[in-house]
Amino acid sequence: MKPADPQPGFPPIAHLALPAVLDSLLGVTTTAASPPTDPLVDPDPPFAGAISLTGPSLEGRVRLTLDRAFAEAALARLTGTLPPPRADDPEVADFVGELGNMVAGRIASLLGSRGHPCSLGTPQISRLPGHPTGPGPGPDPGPLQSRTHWACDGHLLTMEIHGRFHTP
Amino acid sequence: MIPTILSVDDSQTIRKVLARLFRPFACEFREAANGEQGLALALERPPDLILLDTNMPVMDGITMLRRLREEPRLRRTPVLMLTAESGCDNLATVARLGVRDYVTKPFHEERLLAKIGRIIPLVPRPDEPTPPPAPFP
Repeated sequence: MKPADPQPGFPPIAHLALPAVLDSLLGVTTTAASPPTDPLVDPDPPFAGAISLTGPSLEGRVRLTLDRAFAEAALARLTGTLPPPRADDPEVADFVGELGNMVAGRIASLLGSRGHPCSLGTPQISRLPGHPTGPGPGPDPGPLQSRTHWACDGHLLTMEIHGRFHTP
Repeated sequence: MIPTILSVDDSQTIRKVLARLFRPFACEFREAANGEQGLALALERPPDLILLDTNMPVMDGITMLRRLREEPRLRRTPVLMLTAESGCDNLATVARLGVRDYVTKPFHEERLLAKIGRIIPLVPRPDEPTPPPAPFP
């Protein structure tokens, strides 16, 4: 079956996925933001969760970067604990992985509706200073298709989508 | 006897959310981090409902589901898939394996409770009112 959309635009998909997921999950509004400025010293590097996308006509990777404070606030909301307790690294990493999973799942659903079904890999978590660019570790997921920055209640999130389409 | 709900999900975050969700109800909540653990817990004490993720390490959800259907004691155990993936292939596979329903993450808590309530009775604990969700700080 010929794909309905030979190469759907990733920026529109990115703009649909992350705000929708955060609204459903946390009831918060997310708006497009400017790229972050690099801090001189980052004592608590942000967390990045990368999830691969694999399908008959595409491969790619979604990477979501956010800081500990956002994760703690979100975990407090989700588990009903106030004030937000300090979350240890494994708890934050788990949240980042699961949020990335949901966002990648939404992106996969959007790609599927445009004729490019794909499945998700297991989240891979890393920590680097600032909001790192690049696809992260693992097999080459293809060129950068979209990099977007988001503000959510004073917190900054960055999402990158790498990917390439090919004939099945 | 109160119903037992088994959550099988590699995300501790999701398991914590579900634990909070079921706290006001008279039920026992058990959890497993992958399909292998989930299968072991289900065999040890068959649950009344399984909430099952698809993408997990060690043993994924669909493999666990196939193994469940091979066990006489668990063949009819209601399963509700709770997953970030909503692809057509997955839906067709789990439908053939007799899944009761399929919920995409992130899920609306009230809708999830309504779906679960159609499978097993969710009776509020008399001494614990349902807390509202915490505001995003």
